[in-house]
Amino acid sequence: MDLGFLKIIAKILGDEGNQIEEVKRAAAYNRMLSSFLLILLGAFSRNPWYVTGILAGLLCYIAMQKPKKIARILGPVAGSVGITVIFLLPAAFMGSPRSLTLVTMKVAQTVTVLSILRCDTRWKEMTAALSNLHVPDLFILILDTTIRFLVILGRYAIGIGEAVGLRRVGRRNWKNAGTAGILGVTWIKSQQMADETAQAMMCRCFNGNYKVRRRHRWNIRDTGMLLLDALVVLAFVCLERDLK
Amino acid sequence: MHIPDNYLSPQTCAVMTVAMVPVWAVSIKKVKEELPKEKLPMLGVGAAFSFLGMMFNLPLPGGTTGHAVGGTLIAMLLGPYASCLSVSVALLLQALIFGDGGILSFGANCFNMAFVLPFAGYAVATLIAKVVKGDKGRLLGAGIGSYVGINLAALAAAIEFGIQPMLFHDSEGNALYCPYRLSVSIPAMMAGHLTLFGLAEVIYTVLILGFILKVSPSMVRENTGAKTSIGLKVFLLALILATPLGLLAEGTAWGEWGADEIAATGAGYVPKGMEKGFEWTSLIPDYAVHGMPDAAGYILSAVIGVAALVILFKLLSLLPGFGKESESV
Repeated sequence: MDLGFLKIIAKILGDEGNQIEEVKRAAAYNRMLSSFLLILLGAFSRNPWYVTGILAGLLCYIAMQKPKKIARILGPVAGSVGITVIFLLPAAFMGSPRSLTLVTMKVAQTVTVLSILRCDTRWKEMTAALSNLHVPDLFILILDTTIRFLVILGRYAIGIGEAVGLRRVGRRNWKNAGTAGILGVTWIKSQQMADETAQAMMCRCFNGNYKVRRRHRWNIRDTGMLLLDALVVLAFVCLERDLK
Repeated sequence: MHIPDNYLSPQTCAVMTVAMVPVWAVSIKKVKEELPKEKLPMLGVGAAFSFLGMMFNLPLPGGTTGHAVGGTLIAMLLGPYASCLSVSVALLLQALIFGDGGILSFGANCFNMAFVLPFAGYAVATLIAKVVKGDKGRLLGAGIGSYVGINLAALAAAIEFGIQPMLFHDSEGNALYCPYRLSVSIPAMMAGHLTLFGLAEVIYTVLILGFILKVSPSMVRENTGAKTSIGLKVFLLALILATPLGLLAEGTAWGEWGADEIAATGAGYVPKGMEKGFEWTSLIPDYAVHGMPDAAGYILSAVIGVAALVILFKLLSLLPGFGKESESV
């Protein structure tokens, strides 16, 4: 059972929360919107120079960070770019090297944007940002609990998997025989946990409404980010128009 | 001074690369042992300055161009071994991404610009700094050292070019690679470097060193000051924005013509080794972005190059055993 992806979600949730520096930044919803804009325009763009320009800007931002943060940002990027290159290598050999370059750059851009967002924003800031952006509370609650349960139940399943592995005796392959059992037990556990979560929500008077207690005051960083967004849209429109 | 592919025979390239291996090995060892860990990111800043210096092409009457390298400058700030590594990485990036300098001739380019230039420049500069004390001595040493360094590097490149027709030619006597003999290559290379390009290297080195002595003197005097000061960052940004000035120089540097141009330069024929030689398609050839104004492409290339170098050296500082651990008080 490959549960490696859980590590990624665990990182999103704040296992690395302590590593996020306490520096003044633009509002989380602003950062989230900018990331969404960059990913969207990157996906729509057919001009490699738009993507190159954005990548250059992202590289500049990364270059100004501390070495450890750079490693945290670029770790997932290296993996995803490597996998993309392997998948698209046949395209290059079959006479379409442009696809290899463009798609790889788009993947690099998207993952870099997400990776920067992850390294600069705590999970609780992200849910607060979604609430600020008037995303329905029910949607945030489902997203929040899903992500959290994925991690908790994943860890639980890994624990059972290890226990089954340790009890493997003789020639019988318990590993395969135990998969259905592990999933079944995990499912039952998830039901218990859901009930416990509901009770915990009642205890804390949380009815599923995400209220942002401390409102962010608009500052110069937010204005700067807005200007950057406008610049990105302008560059996108100009470069896409030139392509026609 | 960036020797492209197919100007030197594969044998020459191999010998030059083999010659550089111990230099790189010793440089890595010295940097590991002597340079404080927190100063390793400064290698990236040094490499970025060198990268940018090489983008400012200067024209010379006759249609040739040249540029500063900044190897002595980095040697003055971080030591010659660090300079060797910084310039080598800058050259690798230029060759791989921007097609400036060859892949096969990477070893030769490193020998000239990452070994001869910084070590010779540093030796002269420290000698002068011992005689003339203080910041004046440092600046004077840096100026003269950088001039000597770039000229020795140009001489080494000229010799590498000039020995090709003597060693590698066909039965008709036509050169297989660079067609120009020592009698042509040495005067052609040295004319520019003894005058304008040497002067450019002196100005580039003294200007930046003088600026650093003003805004971050601890970096030079006490070999401390790992953080890049705001002034230095602004200066780096100004250099990036000014890189399109390098486009004002029309023509190609001596010894950097394409295979389609070389016959018209006076050779009269295209050497066989160049006609069917190794070819590397870089991502952004000649710092030009197709479909974008040249100046924008040049700035974009400068941004990518500088950021990539800084990131690379910052990541290197995370490697265990790379760089000297600072002594805790």
